[in-house]
Amino acid sequence: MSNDHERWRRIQDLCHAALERDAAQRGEFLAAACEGDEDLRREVESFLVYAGRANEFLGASTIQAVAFAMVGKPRGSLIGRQIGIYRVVEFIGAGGMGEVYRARDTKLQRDVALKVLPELFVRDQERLGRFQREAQVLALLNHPHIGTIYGFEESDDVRALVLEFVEGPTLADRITQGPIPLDEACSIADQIAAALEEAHRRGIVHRDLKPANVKLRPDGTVKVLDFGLAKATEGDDRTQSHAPTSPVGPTRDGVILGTTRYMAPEQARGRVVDKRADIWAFGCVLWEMVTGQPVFVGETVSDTISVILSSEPAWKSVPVGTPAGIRRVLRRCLEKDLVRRLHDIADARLEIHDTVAGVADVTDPLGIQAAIAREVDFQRLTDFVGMKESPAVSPDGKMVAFVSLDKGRRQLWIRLLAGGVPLQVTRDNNDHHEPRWTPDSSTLLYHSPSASRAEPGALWEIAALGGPPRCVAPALGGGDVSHDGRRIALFQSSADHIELVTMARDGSQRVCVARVSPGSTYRSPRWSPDDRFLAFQRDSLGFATYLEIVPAAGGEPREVARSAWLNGFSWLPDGFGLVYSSSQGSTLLYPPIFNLRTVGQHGRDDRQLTYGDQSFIEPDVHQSGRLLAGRIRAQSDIWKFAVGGSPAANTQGRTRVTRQTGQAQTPSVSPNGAEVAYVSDNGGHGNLWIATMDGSSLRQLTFERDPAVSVGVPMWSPAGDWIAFVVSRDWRSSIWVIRPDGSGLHELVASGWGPCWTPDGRQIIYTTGQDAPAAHLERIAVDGGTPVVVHTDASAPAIAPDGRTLYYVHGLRPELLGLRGDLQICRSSVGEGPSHEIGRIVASRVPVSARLLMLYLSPDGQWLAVPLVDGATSNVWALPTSGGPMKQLTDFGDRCNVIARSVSWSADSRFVFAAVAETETDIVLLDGLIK
Amino acid sequence: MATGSSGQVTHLLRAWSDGDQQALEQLLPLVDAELRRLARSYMYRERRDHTLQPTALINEAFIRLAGAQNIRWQDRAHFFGICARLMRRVLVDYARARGFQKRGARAEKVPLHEVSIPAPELPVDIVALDHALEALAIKDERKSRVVELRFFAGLSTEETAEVLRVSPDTVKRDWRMAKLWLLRQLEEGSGE
Repeated sequence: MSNDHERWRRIQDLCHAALERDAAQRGEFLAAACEGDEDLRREVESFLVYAGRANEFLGASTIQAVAFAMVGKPRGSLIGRQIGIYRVVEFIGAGGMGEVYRARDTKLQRDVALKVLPELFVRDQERLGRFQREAQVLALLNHPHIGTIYGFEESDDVRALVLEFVEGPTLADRITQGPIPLDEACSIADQIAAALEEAHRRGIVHRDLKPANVKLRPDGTVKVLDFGLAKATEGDDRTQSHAPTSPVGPTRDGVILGTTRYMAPEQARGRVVDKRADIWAFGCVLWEMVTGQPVFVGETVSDTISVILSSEPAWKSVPVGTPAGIRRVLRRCLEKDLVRRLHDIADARLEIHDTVAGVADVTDPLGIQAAIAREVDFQRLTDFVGMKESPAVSPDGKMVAFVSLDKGRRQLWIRLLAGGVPLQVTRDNNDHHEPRWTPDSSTLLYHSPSASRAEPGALWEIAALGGPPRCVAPALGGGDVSHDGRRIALFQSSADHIELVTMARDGSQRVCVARVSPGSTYRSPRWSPDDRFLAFQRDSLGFATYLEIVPAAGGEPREVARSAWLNGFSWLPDGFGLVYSSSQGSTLLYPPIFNLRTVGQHGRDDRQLTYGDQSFIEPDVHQSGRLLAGRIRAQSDIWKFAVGGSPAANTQGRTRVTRQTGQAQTPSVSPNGAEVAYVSDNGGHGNLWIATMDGSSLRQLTFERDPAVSVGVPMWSPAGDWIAFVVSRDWRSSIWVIRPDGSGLHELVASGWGPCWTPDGRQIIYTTGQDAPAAHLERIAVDGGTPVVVHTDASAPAIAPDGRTLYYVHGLRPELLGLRGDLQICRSSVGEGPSHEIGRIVASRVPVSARLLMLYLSPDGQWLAVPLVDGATSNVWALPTSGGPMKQLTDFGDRCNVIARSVSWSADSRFVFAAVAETETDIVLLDGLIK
Repeated sequence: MATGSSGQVTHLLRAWSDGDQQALEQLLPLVDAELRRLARSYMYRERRDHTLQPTALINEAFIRLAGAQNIRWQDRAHFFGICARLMRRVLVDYARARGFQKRGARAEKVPLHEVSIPAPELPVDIVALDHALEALAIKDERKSRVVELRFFAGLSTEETAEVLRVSPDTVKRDWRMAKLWLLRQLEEGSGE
């Protein structure tokens, strides 16, 4: 044996011997034992320093942890990975189906959830294939309360479902804090039921409904996740797979315990299940919300199953105050006998609605819940052609005042709700906006702009049955009379601010309630029923509209709701919430569909009241709960107009390019004139489509389905090989390009709008600076690269055929989007240089739905086409690039038409194409929508 | 994994225990998947404080793969030895494949529906430990086997003594010294 071996023995002996002693004595012991061999002593000590850690080291828990790591994948191991177009950002959790991550869709710039399938699952090709096929079917489910499946992603070693990312806790998280208050539980249950109703209608059964699969978004929206995935992941033997005692897939092993509790008796027996299993599970979930406890619990899986099969729910644990309707829903859902169980989830919804309505009358202090009612009486109050807006119901509930046109001017009219012919109240040669009643129902307050457009205008009063009007005070827009009749609220401008003020009816005792930034426009202050608060609407250049509330005594305004567009609102009679008109959920922007929603005054319980493709705007709620609103029905198609004749002749001789029942907006004609690209809501979501001019064929170009995303304003490049368009999401707008054959889709500009092409078709120039005090122009190559600033303090670019001359709108400022001021149209050269004004447009003539003015240059460089508001309608106008007066290209007369934003020229500059929405507006009464 | 491969597994097992390292390479992927499937179901089925028995797991894996009647262990010691070696290989392969470093793992609880399971915190870098064990085997072969049996196969002192045919006291001393040596090696050898 070598010396090494001997020495190793020695070291060990000394180590063991030293470890027999107390730590304090080891030094002394070693010094003596090593007999001056310093190397030996150092070596032994080099081991002894680890003595403290040696006990724990390689303990039983270590192998446990290692083995566990082996069993699961290392959790969160995909963070930072790029999987297809998805960049994995964050580990969310691990569920029965595998790990879930938050990831960024780098193409659409949105967050998604990636559900990564377990490896063992992925290895089974057949099962994987079956799963993918199921996922495709499930991806067709598109509903506001169902977490959407976007698709299936496969990359080298990862197979993942791409799902809608839903913020917020799960219902399971929420229930751990205890039972959920009845009104909230009803709202959640109603939304879950709505999701089930939609899925069942399509023949899809959830099969694994439970609190952990229900997400509660901060805005109060409920989303049901993992629809049908339980089936999609199961093995061959369908009947078997429902039996928890014979877990088939990897998904089973982990989830049995969680799932068993919500399993219907027939499911627990291993029978094939139908939608009634979901209805059972719905009952379990409702029970758990109301009581805070699961309805069926056992120590083990088999205990739980036996409880489900044989025991009745502990009815005594349902809280005493629970309404009979909810008890009925629970009893009918938790019926073990399939035949006697509730057959249709819609019945549960009706019962819940009734309960909510009933409860609201008696106990619900936040009347917001009462917004759900079963029967709504609908009555159309106007019956003549032309626009009608701003309905206001008189406090005595007998009359409605509204605005309609007479000889091109907005005039006030009133009508008895009981019937009869409308009576015209104002007759002077001015416009009249936003009538509001005084409490005695005798007098109307309204706003009229001043004769000089630079001045803001004033509030006036007039007797409802006619008489001379009386000027009350200068105001930026409509005001409101307090319910005690003493004060009015209005917006006024001071030197460099806008102020929300209140004053006595004679204009004295002016009090500033809030001083607000001029970076937005403000309208429609409304007193709360107790006159303690004022709500108003704020439109910002940031592509959003806000509903805000401020104490009438003064204070900071706070946001209650927001949307891309809001279009009027009213306090609910109890003052605890508001009803408002919002474009939320509309994927068309020019114009959007507006629906009525309610929201609590603290911004909670936001929910939709109306649905469909008609718009409800400017609601006004009477104390009785009767609601008046403007109802708009619109149908738009793309038309071709000659520009050579008179406006009337051009309009009369127009030809229709598209023919559909829905909406066609923002056309752009291909350079060869053979096709037109536009936005259509064909299929439910606004997307780009291309139609041939002769109508012979139609194809869909983009396939966006996210309700939060809008696609719009295609611009065909002069070379014909690209189409630029705008994508809006979360009130941000980005510019994308796609080839006409649908390939090459990518984002070109993360923040920008209004793209125009350079004549060579290689670059776009666009407006950006959404958050800056003023917009500016930038240029970027279609292949990407770094954007270059082209012009400051400018928006809405158009490039002349020479590639150098630039037309733009100067000095776009948010406040100009209000009723005042002019937009200056200028000519300059690319890369600054001197600017010349070639024309001006009154800001109030820019269509609200267009939000921003855009210039559409004719290919011959002679004309800039713009859609402008003319009274109740819109027309296409053209500004000569050489300066001079504008030329009107179309004349729709008194028809309530809207030009859906873009104007596109034919290559020979002899025709323009525009989407014209033919709209019918009426004032309608909805009785019962609000209680 | 069906009976079709059972003959193969039996054969490979025998070849490997006869010293054929090639056989181990072929055996590993077969055992690995089964082992993990089993481990997974154990983990989820049992309570959190349940102690995983690697030997029981491997035994079950072999029985499933090869069928009980086909596996003829020479004796308990032989079986334990196989278990330890196999477990080490499986874990090291796994850790290597995943680049699973001690540093990367954090302790956090993640919800698995209603069962809350602590995410793995890896108290040791398995790949580095494997390297250190190889070095230890050169220095003192028996000590490396003690570690393998005690740590990777989860054997008790007495079982380890039985496999190595030494006294339990020797196992205790070897185990203690081996841990000191490995700790020092892992700390100081990290620069290699």
